Amino acid sequence: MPRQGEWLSASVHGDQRDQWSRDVRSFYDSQEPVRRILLWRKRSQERTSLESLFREQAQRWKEDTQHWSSLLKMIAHPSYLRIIGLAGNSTNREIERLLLRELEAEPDYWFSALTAITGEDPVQSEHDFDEAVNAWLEWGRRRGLI
Amino acid sequence: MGSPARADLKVRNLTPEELARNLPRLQPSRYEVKSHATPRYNCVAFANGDERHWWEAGVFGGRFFWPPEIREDSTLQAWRQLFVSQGYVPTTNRNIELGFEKVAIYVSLEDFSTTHVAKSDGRVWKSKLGKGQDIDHYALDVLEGDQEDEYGVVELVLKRVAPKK
Repeated sequence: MPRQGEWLSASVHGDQRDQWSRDVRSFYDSQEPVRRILLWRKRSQERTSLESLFREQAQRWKEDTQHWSSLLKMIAHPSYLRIIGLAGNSTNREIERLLLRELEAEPDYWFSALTAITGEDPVQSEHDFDEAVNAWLEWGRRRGLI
Repeated sequence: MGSPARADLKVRNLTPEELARNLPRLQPSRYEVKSHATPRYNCVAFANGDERHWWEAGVFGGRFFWPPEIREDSTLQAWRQLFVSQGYVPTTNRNIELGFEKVAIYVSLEDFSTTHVAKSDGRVWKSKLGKGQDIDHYALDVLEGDQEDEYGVVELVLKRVAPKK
């Protein structure tokens, strides 16, 4: 890669400056595929890690709360709160995607988590459980999340 | 947007192992599964004959219900008031009685909060297990206990005359 001193001298000679620009561009162009691969790997690892964390917490929440009769108690469960907290580590709305896929595969009370994460609530006050599930799935489809 | 057919929503039944993990006394020989699992309604709704709403105080929306005249919490007093308003009266007899409908309210031994209600039609005890399936069980104690995350103990039983069929 050209050094700063070379740039200073190139400022005196236009041809050299052009050559320096080409060198710099060429250097970064040659590094671009590597940079992209590293970025892809980093994101892929983050996604895998986020997904496995999500699966672990969702499974624990379902196992612990399956027989509970209080929704207020269920959404205060540490795993439910942890899933909401995972949104802070999520890129490209990954946690929303995971929650919506979970809601589609095995409908459950994920509505409060989705509202907490997205700040939105597509469920109307008169909706029953089935309609609430479908309102969120439709919301996700409109945004290309599922 | 129309409401889809209810059969569209797939909810898996809890396996005997999954049930026994949180309710260790609930062994397969002591109950019969009577419905498919669903998060649409809970034990309180089931005891009141409603399979479309989740009955709980303090949560709002079309999928929930709590009678407006009943105090808004999940204490034993609130649940007692709820069933008294349906014509039940407290009884010390925990057994099934032909000709009487009963409800048995379980409370946590940790904080005395309500955890579950089972109902009897005069022949058998029936329970909706949280978001799981409905079951028939032959005794109240299969759901009692303070190990794992059991329902605690039956603190109050109420009864009323069963309607003539």
